[in-house]
Amino acid sequence: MHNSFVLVFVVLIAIGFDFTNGFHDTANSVAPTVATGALKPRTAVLLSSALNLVGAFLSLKVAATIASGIVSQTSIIMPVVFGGLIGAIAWNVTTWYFGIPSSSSHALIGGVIGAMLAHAGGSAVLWGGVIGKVLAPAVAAPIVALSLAAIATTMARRLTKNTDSSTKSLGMRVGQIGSTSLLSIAHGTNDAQKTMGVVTLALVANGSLAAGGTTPKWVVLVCGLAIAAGTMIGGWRIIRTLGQGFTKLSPTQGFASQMTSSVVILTSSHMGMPLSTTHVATGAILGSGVGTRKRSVRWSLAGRVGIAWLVTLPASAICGALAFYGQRLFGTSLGIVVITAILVTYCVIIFVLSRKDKIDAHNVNDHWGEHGEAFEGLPEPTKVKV
Amino acid sequence: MTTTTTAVPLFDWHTLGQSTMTSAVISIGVVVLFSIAVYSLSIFRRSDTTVAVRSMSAIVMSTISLIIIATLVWGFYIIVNK
Repeated sequence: MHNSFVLVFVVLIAIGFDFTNGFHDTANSVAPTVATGALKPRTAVLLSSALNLVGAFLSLKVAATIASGIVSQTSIIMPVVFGGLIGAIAWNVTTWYFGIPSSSSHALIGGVIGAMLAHAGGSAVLWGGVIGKVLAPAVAAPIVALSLAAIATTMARRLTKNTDSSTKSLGMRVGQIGSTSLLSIAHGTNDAQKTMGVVTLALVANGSLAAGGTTPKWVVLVCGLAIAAGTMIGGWRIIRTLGQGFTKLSPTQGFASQMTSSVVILTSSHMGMPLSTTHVATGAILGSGVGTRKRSVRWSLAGRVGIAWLVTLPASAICGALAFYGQRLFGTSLGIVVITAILVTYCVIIFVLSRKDKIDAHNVNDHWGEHGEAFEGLPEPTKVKV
Repeated sequence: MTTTTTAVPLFDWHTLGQSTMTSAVISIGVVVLFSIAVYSLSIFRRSDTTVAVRSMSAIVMSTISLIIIATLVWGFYIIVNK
């Protein structure tokens, strides 16, 4: 009875994380489409939501990696999984408020590592897996995406140099609708699996599933629905940063960056390498700016986002460890309830603060700097001809 | 202290390289092909081009569309079957 209560609570928190993952990462799929007006903001978000759900059912390779490659499964107990989720949600909500496109995957992995360190020390963390499957791809992903998107944008720009502007705009916007769909599927297949991996960890920790067991079907369904619901809400603050902050996106850039992102994510997902979709999408958008004739990119903003990426893993690890210790202080069952209450209160405060300068579908494409963004005061990128 | 230690390679260069090369070929390939299709569409829509040129543009557009769709379907087929 005790275990069932804790398990149910942890699964609900995991679904909550999946929901925050959805709205935090909506930008990865739709920001260029919204920024160039290829689709209306609400339409783009609804399309992305439906396709995230489809993507969740395509593959389970990354779920297996999350469940087995980061921490020792034999050392996992339910409070570790809980602490990890709390750390990840807290970091996701904070970065969403500031409009920072940080990695939900790294927040989750960091949270689990922090809670595990608090519980069993460094020996229970598979550092080789952390370096090889998390840190190395985290460095490689944005660089690869940036390079490929820069090449793709340059080639697309040159090949369509003599195309009349209305046909070019029409063609590339149609291409953007296709690529945003593909990217949404890619996000669903890559990110929903991470929560599936965590729920699998919880089931293993509770003894409901043997270590190394396959992810149950109901977990796949629930995680797919949660990420789709989160995507439907639309994380407008981050959509604004990705779509308006780094560069002035044209339909050609939008298409090239989205196609590159979706291919990189789907390929890595297929090979069982859990890349951060945020890192890939951000890298590709920066690359699409580099691929323009004037190389117009706000590098200062990119640098600040890069710092946030570096901080994500340790910050969420600290939150995860604090959640673990806090929960231990009150005892497992009461501790879970108390820590959850603290998290909910924190989320409500952040939500209320965000309403003071509300970003939504109506003003997401406003001129950069008009809404007192965290990175205001940066120079405007040189205007690029569509 | 019964922690299991799994032999995890510190850095899987092979998978990273394979993933990068596959991504490069497919993403750049699709963007290039699509751009050629947009250029062909532009020629097709011009009023001052001959029927032969317009027909050729339509064939190029159709062929490229089929190639892109086939590539994406093939990709999904591989992913789903894994």
